[in-house]
Amino acid sequence: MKSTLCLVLSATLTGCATESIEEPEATVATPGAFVAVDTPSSPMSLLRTLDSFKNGDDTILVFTEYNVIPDSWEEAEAMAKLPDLPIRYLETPGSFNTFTQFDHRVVWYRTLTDEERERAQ
Amino acid sequence: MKANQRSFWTAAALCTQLSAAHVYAQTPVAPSSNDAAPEPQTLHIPVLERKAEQGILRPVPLSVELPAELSFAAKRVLVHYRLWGNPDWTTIELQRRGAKHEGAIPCLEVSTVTGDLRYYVRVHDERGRVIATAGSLARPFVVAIKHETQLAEEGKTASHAAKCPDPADCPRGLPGCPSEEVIAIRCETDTDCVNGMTCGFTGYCERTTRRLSWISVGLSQEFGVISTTGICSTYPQENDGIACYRNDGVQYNGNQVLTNEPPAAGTGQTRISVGFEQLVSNNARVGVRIAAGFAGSGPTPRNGTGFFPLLLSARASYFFGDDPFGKRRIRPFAALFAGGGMVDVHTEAHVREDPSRPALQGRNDLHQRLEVYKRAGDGFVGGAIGAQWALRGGFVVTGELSVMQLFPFSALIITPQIGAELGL
Repeated sequence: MKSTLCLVLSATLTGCATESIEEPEATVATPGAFVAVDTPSSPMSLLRTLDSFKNGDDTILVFTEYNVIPDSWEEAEAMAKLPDLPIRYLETPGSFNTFTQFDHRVVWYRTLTDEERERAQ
Repeated sequence: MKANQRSFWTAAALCTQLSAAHVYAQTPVAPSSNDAAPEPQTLHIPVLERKAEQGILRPVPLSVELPAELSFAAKRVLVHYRLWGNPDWTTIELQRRGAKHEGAIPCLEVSTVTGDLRYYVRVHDERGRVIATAGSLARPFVVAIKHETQLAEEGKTASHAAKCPDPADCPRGLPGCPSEEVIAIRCETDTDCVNGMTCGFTGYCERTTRRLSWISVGLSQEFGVISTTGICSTYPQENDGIACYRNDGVQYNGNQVLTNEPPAAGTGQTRISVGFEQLVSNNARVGVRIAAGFAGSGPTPRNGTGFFPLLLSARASYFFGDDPFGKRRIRPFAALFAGGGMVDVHTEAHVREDPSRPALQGRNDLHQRLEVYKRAGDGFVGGAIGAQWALRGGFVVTGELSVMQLFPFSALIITPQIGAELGL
C-alpha cells in the first residue's frame, strides 16, 4: 500500500524511499545513551553516557547517574524521555568490562548539549 | 452615406392609397472587402411616399427591389414591424423572387385593430452585417390600417383583391400565405440587432439577461500533501524550502535516519481572493484572480526566502449545460488555472536520530515529532470543479474544490473555496 502510494506521488513529491535501511542503535559507549543497570545487590539505576575512551583492553566510560529508581526497563525508558531528571552524580567513571557483567539495557538516546559534553572533559 | 461615394437616389416608391407597400431602391455599391465592415447604405424613400393604407384583416404586401450590386451581396432582407398598440417589434424575412424580395405582414397580425402599422427594412449580407436600410426604428414607414369604409377609393379597390377570406385559413409559411416569422437573425455585432436584442455568442440576435463581466470574492483554506521521508535532513532544509522545528522552538539540525515515512497532509494558508472573469462564449469565461494569505504561513529560517503572501493566476472556466448564463440556475463548472506564488504547508514529521554519527546538535531525542513547514512555489498549475448558484441582481454564490501542483519547490495543494460573484 505504501509503495503504491509512493508510486502515485513520486511524480509530485520528493524523497520517496523504497526500502527501509537498518536503523543504527546506540550502545553503552555512545555519548548520549541512557543506560538502565540492574544489579543483584542494589536497585535498578539510570545512567547516561557522556564519553568513552580506550584504556588498554578496556574502555573507560564517563556517566551521569540520575537520582531515580526505575522498577522496570519500560519505566527506565519513560524516565529517560523526561527533559529533566534529578542527578545523583554529575559524572562518574566506570569500566566497560565490569559494566557489561551486569544486566543492562540502552533504553533511550538523546544527543548531548555542549554543556553536557564539557562535563566529560 | 459617405461623401466620397457616388450619390444615387432611389427610385423608391411606397405606394400610397394602395393596399401594398413597395420599396424600390437603388444604392451605391459598398466597397468590397471581407474584413472592413462598410457603413449600411440607406435606401432613400421620397418623404411624401412614406405612408400607405390598408384595410383590416388584410395582409400588407412588401416588395423590395435592390440594385444589382447590392442584390448580389444581400443574403437576407428583413422587415421589422410593429402593430398599433403592440409594444414589441416583430421580424419577418422577405423571400427573393427574381430581382425583388417579397413578403407580407400577415393578415393574422393585422387583425381588426385600426391604427398605424410601422415598419422598416434592413438588408443583411452573408456574415449577418447590415449593408442597407430603408426606414429605421426612429423613422419607420407607416401603413395606416383602417376600416374599409374609411379607405381611399384607390386603396379600397386594391384591398378587396388582397383580403384574406378567413385569417385562420392562411397560416404563415403555407404556399400563398405570408412569410414565416424570423426566429433568429444572424449578426456580427450588437448594431446588427434590433428591438433591444444583442448579438449573442452563437452569431444570432437574442434577447437575454446574460451578464458578461464577473467580479468575484472568495475565502479559501489550503491543504497540502508532502513527502516526509528524510524531510528534515540537512539537504532538504537547505535546498527544498523545508524548515523543521522541535517542540522547544529550535530549528532541527541533526542527523536524521532516512526511515520510510508516509506522505503527510498539512494545512496551507487561509486566503481571501478577488478576481475578474469575462464571458467569451455561452459556456466559457477567462480571467485573472489574486489571492492573499492572511493566516497559516510559517516562520522564515535564517537566510531563507521570505514568504510572498499573494497567489496570482490566470484562469479559464467552462460551465456545463445549455446557455448556463442565460437563465437563473445552478451552474456546474470546471476550470484550469496557472500562475505564481508561494504556499507554506504546515505538518508534522517523525524523525529518528542517528546515534552512530557525531551529533550536530544537542538535545535531539532518538525519536521526535517535528513541526515541518514546506515553502512551496513559485509556479503552479491546477484545475478546479465547482458549482454556482445564481441569485437575483446578478449575484452568484460559488463553491469550488481545486487541486494545484506547485513547482519547482513542489507540493500538492487541495483548496476548498466559497465565494460570491457579481455579474456586470
